[in-house]
Amino acid sequence: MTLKDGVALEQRSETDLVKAASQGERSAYALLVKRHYKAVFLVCLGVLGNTHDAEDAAQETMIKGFEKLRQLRDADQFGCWIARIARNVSVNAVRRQAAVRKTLNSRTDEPRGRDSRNDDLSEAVGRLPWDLRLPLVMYYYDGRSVKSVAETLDISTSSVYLKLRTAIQELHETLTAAGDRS
Amino acid sequence: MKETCREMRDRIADYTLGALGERQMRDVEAHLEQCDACREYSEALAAHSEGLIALGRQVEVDMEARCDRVLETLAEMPAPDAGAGPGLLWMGRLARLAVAAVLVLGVGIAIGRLTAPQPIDVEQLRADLQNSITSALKPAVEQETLTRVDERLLAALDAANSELKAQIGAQVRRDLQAFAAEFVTGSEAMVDRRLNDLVQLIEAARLKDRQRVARAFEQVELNRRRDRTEIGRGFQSLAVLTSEPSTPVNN
Repeated sequence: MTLKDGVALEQRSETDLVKAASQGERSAYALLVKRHYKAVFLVCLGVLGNTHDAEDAAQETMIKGFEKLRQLRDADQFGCWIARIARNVSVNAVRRQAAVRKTLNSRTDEPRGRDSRNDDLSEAVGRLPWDLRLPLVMYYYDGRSVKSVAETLDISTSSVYLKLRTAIQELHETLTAAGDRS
Repeated sequence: MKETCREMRDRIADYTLGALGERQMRDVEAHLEQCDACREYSEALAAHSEGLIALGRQVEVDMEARCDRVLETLAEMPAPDAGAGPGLLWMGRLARLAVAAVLVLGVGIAIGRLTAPQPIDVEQLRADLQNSITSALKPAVEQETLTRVDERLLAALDAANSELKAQIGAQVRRDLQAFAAEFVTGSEAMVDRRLNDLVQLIEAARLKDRQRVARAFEQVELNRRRDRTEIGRGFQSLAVLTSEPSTPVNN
């Protein structure tokens, strides 16, 4: 692919890229991955709570997207479609982890792989239930609007606001309790 | 915390999220001006929001490298199977029905041909079945086996624990009984020795008493004899003194 081809590819619309990728054009899918990787990774991070597992889940999502792209009917909806795959992949990973923990009788819920530079806030985010953490991460980390979060998660905007409110209040309680203990 | 403040907390969270209308915002701001505790709460939530945005920026640092790793993996993947393409998915309902009918017919014919009497490779069928059953059941069997091994190990551990407890209990009981027996035997022997000593002491005392009494009787006898002698002599002297001069005294 020449530089000229690359520029031309960059300028193509999302719909064109999806159609080209579904016909086997790898460079088109690579561009879709570049455009949507961050959103996909953050959905995975929102569900799983740590960057290590989120990276694995995001990779699995992109591979699934590549394999199933032909099943996408509305090419305009690639962003929402791939984000929903990311959520399903991550939720399945959470269930597998829970099953493993149950089998091993391990009670630890400590999220692993957290960066050492992250502070109490990061730990408190890791302790939130995933259905509260997901909209919180999409809203704050990804800078998405409440409407966009609602569309991706296929829930109402009021539900998103409610989850965000609950999440930030739980964060505050966790951090206050930690402060009282220390 | 006042009841008003308690009710206000949800609205303060909504205020932090920018989810309130203008009028509700003004109400919250008016309350925050009057209430130190709620103002502190609002400031804390705002600080958490800023912290979350900063965390988002931290996570974004390695994003490009992560994305590149995914692209490398995708580049190594084979092209997906050329199954039903988007053209087929976007066909009209009638066309899809027609394709489905052709597929059903084709599958029916294929099944008919496959199920027609022909020599069956039993060994191959057995091997295929064995492989299929093995691959389907292996994970479940492994999991089940691990679970059972865990259960048996735990049960064995419990049994060994109970047996050890019973052994220790029995040993303690035996030791206590032996100790009690030794104690009782030792006590009896000591009591016997003390009683013998006592008997000997009593015997010795009785012997001394008898000797003392015997000596006392002897002394009394001696005294009695001396007294008799004295009395005899006294009577003689009396007789001498009281007798007539003409009358001779015959002893």
